[in-house]
Amino acid sequence: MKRAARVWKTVLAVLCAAMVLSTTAQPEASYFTTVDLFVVSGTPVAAWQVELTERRGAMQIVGIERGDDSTFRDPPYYDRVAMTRSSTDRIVLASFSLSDAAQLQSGRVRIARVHVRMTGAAAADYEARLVAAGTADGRPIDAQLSIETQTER
Amino acid sequence: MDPTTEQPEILPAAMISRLRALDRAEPIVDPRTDRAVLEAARAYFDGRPAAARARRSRWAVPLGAAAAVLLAAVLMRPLVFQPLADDVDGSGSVDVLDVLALARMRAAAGDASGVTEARIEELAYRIVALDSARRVP
Repeated sequence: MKRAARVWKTVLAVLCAAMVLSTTAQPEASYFTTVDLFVVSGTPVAAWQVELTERRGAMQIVGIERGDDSTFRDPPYYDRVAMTRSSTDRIVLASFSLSDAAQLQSGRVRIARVHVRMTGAAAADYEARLVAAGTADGRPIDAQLSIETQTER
Repeated sequence: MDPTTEQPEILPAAMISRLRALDRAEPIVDPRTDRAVLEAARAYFDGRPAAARARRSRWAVPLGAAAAVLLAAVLMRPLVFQPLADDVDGSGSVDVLDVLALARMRAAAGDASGVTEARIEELAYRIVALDSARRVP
């Protein structure tokens, strides 16, 4: 009788331990993705400033690159302090070029690429806002902003 | 001859006393008339619509205060609302176009522009700062 009770207690303890381990040891699902930012403008863009937000707060920015125009700074200006704190569910990027208007790009121009680590299984909910854009002589442009995402792995 | 002492000597005493009586201040309106006018005025103003009186008192103070604030704002504007030093292009907001304006000034005139590379970098990093303490106002 005593032996049977001991066996039951052992089985119960093992089951409890297994249950606890199965709930705590699961790694949080995450994936890496890139967010490409495009400015669409009929006039050549010499300066831009955008704000990128992930509404669920699941975004961690792990890298930033400039876009296709090599005359712009690489990487664009961003808040380095916020990046080191990993609190980057929102980021502001900005850059400019002193090139002549003839050398600058117009149309749909990729201005930056943001490398992101997303946590959780739900799809990201990005919001991108063009704060300002301007021509080579400093005039503001009424341009459009669009984003494209691509999962890396 | 003294004119003040001349008349009593010439005029008869009865006339003098009547003239003195005329000089005495007599009440033009007696208390009963005064009271009647007051009551009539009260009755008139009490009979006016309450809304008309209330509207005047409701709007007079706020409008007066608003006018005073507006006047003060107009007079104090040059003292209080100084143009931002970072608003280089005068657009009313500080953004990357102000950084570009600084960079163009330096590119055009070099050190003579008074704009340093450090100043350009400092403003550029402030416009992208997420922390309110470091952000451009």
